[in-house]
Amino acid sequence: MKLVENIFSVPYLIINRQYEVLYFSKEVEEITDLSSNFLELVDEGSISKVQEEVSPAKNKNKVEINIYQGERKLDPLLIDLYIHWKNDLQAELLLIPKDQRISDITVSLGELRSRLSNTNFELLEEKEKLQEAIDENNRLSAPFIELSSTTALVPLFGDLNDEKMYTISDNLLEAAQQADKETILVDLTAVGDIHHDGIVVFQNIVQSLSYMGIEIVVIGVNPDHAQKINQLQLKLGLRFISSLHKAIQKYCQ
Amino acid sequence: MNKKYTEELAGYLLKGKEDEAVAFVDELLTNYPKLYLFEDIITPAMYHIGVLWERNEITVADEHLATAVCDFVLSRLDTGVYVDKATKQKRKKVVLLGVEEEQHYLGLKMVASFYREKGWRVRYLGPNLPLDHALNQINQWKPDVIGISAALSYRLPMVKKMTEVFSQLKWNPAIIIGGRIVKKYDLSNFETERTHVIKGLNELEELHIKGKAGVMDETS
Repeated sequence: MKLVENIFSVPYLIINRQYEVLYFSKEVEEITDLSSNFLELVDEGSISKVQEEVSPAKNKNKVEINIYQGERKLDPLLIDLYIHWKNDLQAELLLIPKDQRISDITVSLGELRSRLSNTNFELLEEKEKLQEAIDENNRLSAPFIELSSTTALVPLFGDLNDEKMYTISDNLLEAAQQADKETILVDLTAVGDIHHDGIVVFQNIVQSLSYMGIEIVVIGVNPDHAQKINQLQLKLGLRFISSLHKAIQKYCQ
Repeated sequence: MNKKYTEELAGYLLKGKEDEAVAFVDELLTNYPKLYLFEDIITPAMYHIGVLWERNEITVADEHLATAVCDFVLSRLDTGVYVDKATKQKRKKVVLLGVEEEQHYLGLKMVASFYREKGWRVRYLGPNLPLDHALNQINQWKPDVIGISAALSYRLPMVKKMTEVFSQLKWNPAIIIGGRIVKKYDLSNFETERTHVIKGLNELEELHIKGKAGVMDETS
């Protein structure tokens, strides 16, 4: 292995067919730790590429490979390798590191990507907080109020959707069982919209309660609700009473 | 047949044709499960692109473009994952991260998608994450599973260190090590009762079916 001076000031090597370094320019040492065999400079992921492409059969060739940066940096360095076989035995190699601007762009793209994913992440966190708030809100939308030893009142609040119905169903069934009531008055006075999915889940809850021997009486149905419930043509098997006042008179005397 | 799909997808990725890539993947999704798509189409497509580079047919710049398009396709696949509203169970949590300096992250994204579809809460912290930053997040969030990914052999010491540090955590989360590094090197000496090395999504699925991740079958 000999140092050559009289060439361009670029990393330059002459190797033989066994990839042994015969001559090198001092610039090689600026980009990598020189070794007596060229393959030892090459990153493991590029070795087969070098073995394939650096061959006398391909007289002039240019390939992209990664080489080790020596002990200074762990990550490999991406270079363009220009190959010229002077004859069947010796090849000249030029090792030109990739334009710094490309790696700069790669870095800034990476930064942009991580910013996007951070933003995504923050949004996700906010969404989770919001979801928790909605769940909590749903849980509180159906308080179980005992009116007498046999009757309880469950006023529903807000829109009647499936998510809310799922959230309240467990609490409601459990409370109904523990309180051992015969009748539950469900008050829709404070309900806004009734969604189809919501009423379907509501029907399941009513069904479960009836299996437990509890009668459900729906009160406070306004004209909008009445239309919706009618349109959906559900066979809820419910009793309806127009107002809370009447229901209390009937069930709590 | 598989190879045909793989190479067609790789073609779209390399040409930067994200719309075609998305349409192609959507089409496949009507016939195949997502897991198959990840493991047998998208991952091989990216490996194929690596092979094309080795054959000197494309440059690193092409690879970067393909990665970005693939990222886009994966993000698209991830939207609209259905979370069952009726389940009351506390959802399990997983944190996913690439070790410091690691730039390969597509596999992690697929794992994130895999867990989301299972109904887990997922924190995908992305690649190139310094240990102390990761530890900070993990301590705050207390995940049931921590997934670590790495591709290149240089990361091996860091993977080891992270595994050691995460094994000390008090609530004893399961640790899963994956990525190309696992396919190339034998990491079986990393395995313990709570630390698993997986070679791909199919193995991850198996791990969860067996309940070996120690987290699937506690409540279900």
